[in-house]
Amino acid sequence: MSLLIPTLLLSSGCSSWRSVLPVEVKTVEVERKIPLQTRPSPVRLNDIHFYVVTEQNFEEFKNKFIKENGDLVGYVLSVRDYETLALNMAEIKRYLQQQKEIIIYYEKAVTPNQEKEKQE
Amino acid sequence: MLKIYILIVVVGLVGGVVYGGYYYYKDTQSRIQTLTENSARLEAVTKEQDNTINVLVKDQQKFEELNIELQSKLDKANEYKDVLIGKLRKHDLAKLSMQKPGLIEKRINNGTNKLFKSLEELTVIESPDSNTSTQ
Repeated sequence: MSLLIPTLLLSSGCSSWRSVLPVEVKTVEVERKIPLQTRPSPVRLNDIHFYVVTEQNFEEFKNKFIKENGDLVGYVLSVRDYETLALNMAEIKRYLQQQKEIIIYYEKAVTPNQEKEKQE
Repeated sequence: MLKIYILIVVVGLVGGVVYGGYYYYKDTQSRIQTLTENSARLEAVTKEQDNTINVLVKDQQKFEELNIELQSKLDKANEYKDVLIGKLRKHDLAKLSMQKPGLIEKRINNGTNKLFKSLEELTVIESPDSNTSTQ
């Protein structure tokens, strides 16, 4: 009997002093902060001038052109090529516009809801 | 002597009943406490889940709206080219240039300037309000 009590106490340790606490797992939402980058500076385009030249107005064009530019030298575009150039520019404009809208979409998508901000 | 035995048995029985009652009371109190804690925890978890669901639903609505808005703007970006193609199909530019070179020159230069201006406006910074955002 005198041996039994110390044996029991030693084998049970301190388990009877305090009950085992249950493990609690908590999932906490951590917000990712995505900085919005500043946009590139806007484009500044210089004006250009197209001359419409026909057989009838060639002499008039020649005098005017030399007066404005000094020499009679330049680059000639056919009407078809001018149309192609205009369509190419329109295509570039479309691409820029759509690219910009997609950037705005993503900026809005990563911006938190106003209600959520108020709660915080 | 018999009375003493009976008394011991009765006292034992009464004691057993009293101890049983006390044990039952303590056990019930403990259960009630555990259940109350569980209920409170479940309530908090339910509330948190509701909040999460609400946030997800709001996000979904927000993305749907943004997608519709984006699609509409992407379609609108095609307008300029479509109008230009229509104009070039409608008018014979070579013929018109032969007939009225001065007028066409003015028109194409105005059109070019207008296009350059629109490209400049397109690249203007609109919303420099906030530098950081969260997701």
